[in-house]
Amino acid sequence: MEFFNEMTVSFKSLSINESFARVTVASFVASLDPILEDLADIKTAVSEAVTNSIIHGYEGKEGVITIHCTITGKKVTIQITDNGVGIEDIEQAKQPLYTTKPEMDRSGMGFTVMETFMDEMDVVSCPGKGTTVTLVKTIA
Amino acid sequence: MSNYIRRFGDHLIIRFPKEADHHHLLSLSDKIRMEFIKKGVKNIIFDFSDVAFMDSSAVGLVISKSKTVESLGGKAGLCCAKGHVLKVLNACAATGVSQMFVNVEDAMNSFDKKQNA
Repeated sequence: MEFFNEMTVSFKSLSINESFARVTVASFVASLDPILEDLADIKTAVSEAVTNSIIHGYEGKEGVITIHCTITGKKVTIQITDNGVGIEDIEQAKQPLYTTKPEMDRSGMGFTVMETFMDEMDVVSCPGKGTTVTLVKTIA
Repeated sequence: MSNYIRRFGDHLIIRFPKEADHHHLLSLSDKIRMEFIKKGVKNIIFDFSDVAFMDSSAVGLVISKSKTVESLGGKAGLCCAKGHVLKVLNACAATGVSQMFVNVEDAMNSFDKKQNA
């Protein structure tokens, strides 16, 4: 029978929780004994998604971010959900260098990094209700 | 000046923190801006030698400040970028925006030579 494990963690949309989020997911994934590069890729992608929720989803206001993470065999699936303002045009938001916050020195490369470092990325968003980013990586 | 910012002549050296994410870079942008308001800063050098983790927040800072420096006639350089830091910079095409150097001294020497040429 295929190995299965899952965890859910919710936390306030405070920037100090960016490191908590990525380290928590990395600790959960560590049971698969990944190479350091895979672990760094996952931490970076999670950090990008959580930072997006804090800056763009909640626009610096207080909210809750939930991460649901599953391991099925060697496949890791991470869902990062916020109940923020949502994204009007997901395809535009995913374009490299596109940012609505250039005054905050945002690179507009968050989704590009997530897509590059993970095997799969999916974004579902409802304006006014929130966004869920799903990241998938199979550990070799 | 914070522990992360040093000044050598007209070079401003930005030593990124160990965790170069949005949270840890929040105040760094304003501090760099303040240094530029002071007279004499021409070039900017980003030093990644302490960085253990980095995401695109650091790249945003690099791109933004490099553009500011270059619009004022100065130069921007990146140094000590390796492993995962280099992977993030490459993924964001930031290595095409600023010159890469082995270390801070190498960057300063290169900029000084070009200035005196």
